[in-house]
Amino acid sequence: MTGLIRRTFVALDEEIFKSLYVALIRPHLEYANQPRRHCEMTIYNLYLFDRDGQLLYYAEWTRKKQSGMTKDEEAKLMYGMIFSMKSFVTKVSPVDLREGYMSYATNKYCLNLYETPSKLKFVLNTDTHAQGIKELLHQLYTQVYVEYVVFNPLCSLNKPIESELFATKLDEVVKQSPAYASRPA
Amino acid sequence: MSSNKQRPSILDKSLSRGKSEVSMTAYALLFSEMVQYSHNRVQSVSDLHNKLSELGERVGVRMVELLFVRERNYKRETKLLNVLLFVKGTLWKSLFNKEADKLDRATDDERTFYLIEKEALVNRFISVPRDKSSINCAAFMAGVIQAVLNCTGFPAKVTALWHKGTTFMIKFDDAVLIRDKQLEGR
Amino acid sequence: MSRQSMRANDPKKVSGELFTLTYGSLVAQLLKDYENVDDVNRQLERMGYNIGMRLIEDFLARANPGRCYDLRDTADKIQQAFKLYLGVSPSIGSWSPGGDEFSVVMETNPMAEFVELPEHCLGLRYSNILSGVIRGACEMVQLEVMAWFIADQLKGDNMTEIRVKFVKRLEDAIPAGED
Repeated sequence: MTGLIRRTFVALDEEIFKSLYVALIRPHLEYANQPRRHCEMTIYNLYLFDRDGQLLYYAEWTRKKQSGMTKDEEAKLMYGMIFSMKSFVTKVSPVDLREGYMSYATNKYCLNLYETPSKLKFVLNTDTHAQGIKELLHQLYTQVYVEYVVFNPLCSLNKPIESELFATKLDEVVKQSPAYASRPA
Repeated sequence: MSSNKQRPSILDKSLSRGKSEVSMTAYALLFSEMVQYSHNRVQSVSDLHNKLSELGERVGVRMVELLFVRERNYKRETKLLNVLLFVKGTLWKSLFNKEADKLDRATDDERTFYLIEKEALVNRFISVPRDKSSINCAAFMAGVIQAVLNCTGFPAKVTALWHKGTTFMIKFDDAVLIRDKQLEGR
Repeated sequence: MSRQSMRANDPKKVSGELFTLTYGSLVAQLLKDYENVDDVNRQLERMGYNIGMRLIEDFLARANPGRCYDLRDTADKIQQAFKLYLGVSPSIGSWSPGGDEFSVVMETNPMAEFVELPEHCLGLRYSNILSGVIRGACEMVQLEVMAWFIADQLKGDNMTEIRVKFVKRLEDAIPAGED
């Protein structure tokens, strides 16, 4: 995997490498040590970035272990990785990429990126079996972000979101989604 | 430049039923920007409420003119209860396409009434603050109601509260109550 | 998803009067707060810009318009947005030979019903908020444009006309700490 990253990203600076490493490789190492569990469907966590790469909101549901970094550091690396991957993926894509949705899966989790034409980025980590994530992210954008941030005069668009109503609704929508609910006990 | 062109006077246009509608989105965003503009120019929450109320009053004054000319054939309201029903019904319908949810009289003070709107348009997208003391954008609507009451001869102070959704507390001047009692006596 | 389709087909409405009067009250407030009319024009444009930044999110969420590939696409979307949000159908025209400039023409201006400019406010661009909205909304989808009024019924013109000019495409923001 490390070799793959080295080969794929020719001009790799330290920071990008670090973020790729964190995102792509670490989970393998970590999960490899765990006893094999039965397959479950779930949603781990969510990052929402604005067009400038600022973290507007973070939420987690069943994140079983932390990265050990500060939230800021983690967010910065996450954005860096998304940014680099996106530009590279777009460059090598054999067809024109017009959709604002991308995802990659390791054998333990799946990262889903939904980018609106206004360059808001929703990043949702789920397990590899989760279905309908693109629809869920679209729903989070149209029914939660637009409703409770865009229309809230007390919410600034370029500051981290503090509205409780937003947090509550977001949690509601995620928990109602099939990807979250169909989790076997 | 344009002053030598023939200008139709605005007085030539009709005031007839304003059937035009705009999307709530457009309104919500205009309102939102107005709140932020006002917010940037004041120091305290109560100053902001006053500012919003002032903006609402300008709307209220004009609504009275429009509604009395259009809907009521210039006839004024003389009874206290009727003017409140006018606010709850006619005014609310022409602004929001619905009546206000509820009208209550305070049990301990006959000058005070409560007009309750569970989901006020202007507060719809705002988290209700836990301490209930912070910004309430319905101050704008309070301004509208206050202006309508003042212009129809029922001077009152109207305040927006976070209670059962949004509650407008309407407190009439003593003189209004006295006059209303006299009218009842006849 | 039932909510979704409702949003697309039957967006909620408010009375045009509430809208017009609220905007009028805002303009009156600005005239009170600022010494001169040019500052009011500027402030209206800035407020429009802020609104545009928010409005575009609703437009993208509601209309799911897809990306624009040229300025004609963009002009179509602006036309669609006027219809959706203000209930008017402007016409698009007067393209420049280079195709980088066009006009949005309205027969009636919903911002300015009941309005007559007093003599001392003739320099006021009453509906200037609209040019700000167009600029703000376009910027959020990586299009830098200029927008300005070239005709206004309040000033005796036959129609209200906003000119929009393409400036440049904006690129993605680069993450902090990289170049």
